[in-house]
Amino acid sequence: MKSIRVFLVAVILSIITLFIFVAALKGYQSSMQEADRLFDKQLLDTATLIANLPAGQSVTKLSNNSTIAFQVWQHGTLVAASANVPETAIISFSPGFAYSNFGGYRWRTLAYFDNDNDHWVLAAERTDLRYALAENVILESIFPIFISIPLLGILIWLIVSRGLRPLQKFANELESKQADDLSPLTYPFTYQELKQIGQSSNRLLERLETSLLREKQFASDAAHELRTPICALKIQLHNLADDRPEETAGTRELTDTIDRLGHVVEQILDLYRSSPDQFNASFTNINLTTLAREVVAREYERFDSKNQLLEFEGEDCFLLGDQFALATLMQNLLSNASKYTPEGGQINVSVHYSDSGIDLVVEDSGPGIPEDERETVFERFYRVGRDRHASGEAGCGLGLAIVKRIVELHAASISIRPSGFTTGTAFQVSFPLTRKSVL
Amino acid sequence: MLLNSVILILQETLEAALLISVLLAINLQFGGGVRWLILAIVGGLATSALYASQMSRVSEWFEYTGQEVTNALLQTSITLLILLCSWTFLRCWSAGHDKVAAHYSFRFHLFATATVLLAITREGSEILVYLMGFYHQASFFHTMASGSIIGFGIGISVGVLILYGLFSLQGKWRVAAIISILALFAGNMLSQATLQLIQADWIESAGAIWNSSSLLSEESLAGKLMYALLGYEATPSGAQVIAYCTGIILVLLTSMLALKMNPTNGKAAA
Amino acid sequence: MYPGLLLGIFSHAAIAATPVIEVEIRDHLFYPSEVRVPANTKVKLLIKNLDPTPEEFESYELNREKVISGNSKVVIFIGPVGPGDYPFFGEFYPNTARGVILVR
Repeated sequence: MKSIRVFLVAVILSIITLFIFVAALKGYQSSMQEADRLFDKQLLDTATLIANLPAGQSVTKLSNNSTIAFQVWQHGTLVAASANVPETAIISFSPGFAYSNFGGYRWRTLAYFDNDNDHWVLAAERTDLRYALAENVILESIFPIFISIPLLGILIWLIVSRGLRPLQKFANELESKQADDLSPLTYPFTYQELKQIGQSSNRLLERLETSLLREKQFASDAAHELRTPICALKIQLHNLADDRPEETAGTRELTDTIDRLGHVVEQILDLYRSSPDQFNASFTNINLTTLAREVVAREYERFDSKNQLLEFEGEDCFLLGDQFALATLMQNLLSNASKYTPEGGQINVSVHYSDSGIDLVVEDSGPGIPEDERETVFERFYRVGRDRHASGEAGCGLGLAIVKRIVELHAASISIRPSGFTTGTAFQVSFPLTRKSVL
Repeated sequence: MLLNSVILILQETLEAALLISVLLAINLQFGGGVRWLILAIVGGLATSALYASQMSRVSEWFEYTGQEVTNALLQTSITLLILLCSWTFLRCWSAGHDKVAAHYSFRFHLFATATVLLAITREGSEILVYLMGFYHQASFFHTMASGSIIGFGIGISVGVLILYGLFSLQGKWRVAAIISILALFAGNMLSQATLQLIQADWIESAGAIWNSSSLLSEESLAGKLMYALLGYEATPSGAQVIAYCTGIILVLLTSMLALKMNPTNGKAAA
Repeated sequence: MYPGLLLGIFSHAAIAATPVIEVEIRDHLFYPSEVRVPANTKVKLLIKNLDPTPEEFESYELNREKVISGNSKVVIFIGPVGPGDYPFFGEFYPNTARGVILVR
């Protein structure tokens, strides 16, 4: 059952059609029986009339295609008849109604013995005309039904559509809700059937909002609280390294780990800051190419340490955006590319105008992302191939989630496709072309 | 006259509507739209027009029993196709996942299309012969048209109600209902085919083995409905009863085999 | 599938002995409208439709139903049945095309 509307209309209309048509048939049947009875009575009247005509008078004026016919027999001889009957008796001499074929027609017949005049009257009426007459009268009464069925169909369709409209409105309101809008539904649930679903939806939204808020708050609070001890740790470690220069190997590893921990905490804070309800957008006109060049320069050391070749090309592209957020976006894409590209690999960054806006593309020659994972990489804490990634790189899996947030804040879109190298991934961020950004 | 038009059209429409409803209910399992049905109906109308136009020539085959032989052939083919439909349906249902459905989907649509096409060929030809005979007779046209509308109306309405009735059943109840209807339909088809062959004197008939016309006359509207839906006969011959049971048993056996082949779901035999 | 099929093959040999009864259809009427048939005997009914319109021979009592195109003829085998009156009619023109088979 795909549609409630089709179901209701089809079933209601079918039931109505079934009942009305069967009722019409029953009506037809009893009308025909009644007509039959009336016609038989008429035939009897005709026979009585003929029986009482002056004896010996032959009525031959009835033409050949007359609807009635008769014979009058006295002691085995035909004494009177209409012109449309054969010379022989049209039926046997047994009183009552019957059927007979003669003269190329089928007749309803009546054999009637008149005691007073001592003769048989055989009267007959053509069945085809008799039925046609009755049928035409009855059909006239059935015809309006045929016209009423399609009209009923349209009416039922309209009524059902009207009845389902609150449901449609309810669906529309749910549909038009922003992803982050968890405020209660405002549709007036005056209909009894919708009241419950409305109330439960609102309760669900409420619960969802509370738990989401709690989660966000917890993450950002925890990150905040962790920052200070991490800073302290770093200083202590630095002092420790100075005091015991002979244990450099141990302390370096520890430094790396603490740096990574610091990074994760910063990322969590970035993610929190870039969430729509925390984001204090300060959109200014930005030259994306200049910004990209700055970020590339800042991150250059990272690539250099892995002997990776980083190429940048771009034209001046202007857009309205948040400088800090866009820098975070690019930094995340670049560090991602560096992380997952083996030593000696290549990374291309380009910024260009396209037909529909501005494209920022970061391509690497890493192992690439399988097609079925391309959607999930944007989820928080998701890492390609779990933590068994061949790159052996540590990461927290938040980078791309942050990228996605920032992309959404700029009404841009992000897509993943194979890179132009033999292997690897290309991340393409497409910013829409707003009128103001073409300066 | 009107009553006769109604009954003539209704009988044939009802049989087709029942078949189509059941196949549509099965189609729910496979999905993939109803394009096959449109194809089958259009194709069936075309072949029935061909059959109707060649009716007098066909009648002359086999010493003037060509009609019976052709109808019996069509009805036997429909029975076999119903077996194939039941088989694919239950194989898919018992496996219970989409990959198998996709695997059997094409086959089922093929069998279902052929079934509907053959059924409409036989039923449509009778209606067409009837309608074409009246088309030029203005005096009867009104009656015939009204009768046809009522007949089609009742037939299609019953079909829609059966369809939604089947839709509203859940899980194995729906499967049981579908298989039961298919079994009765197959029995009906084989019984009719046998009757055709008796009429053509290909099978010897020993006369009626019972007479239930006092209980339910074949001439009554209810009797007519039962004839179209279940193949009811007030005075069936022994061969017909055997054929009817054979049809039912064949469908049930096919169903059981289809379910048995998958041991994980063999319990829900219809 | 048909247990009677074998019998059917034998019965073909007996066709010559089957009595043939001719019925005509003219102006949507059966001629003759009363057909006499011996009891417990198989009979071959040869129906000629002389009308240009098609007709359908139908008898509920005999379980027979067959379309007869305009200006053509068909064969219908009936029986063997016991004595009695077995009405038949033309389903396309039931008001006029009526008859009865009297099995004696």
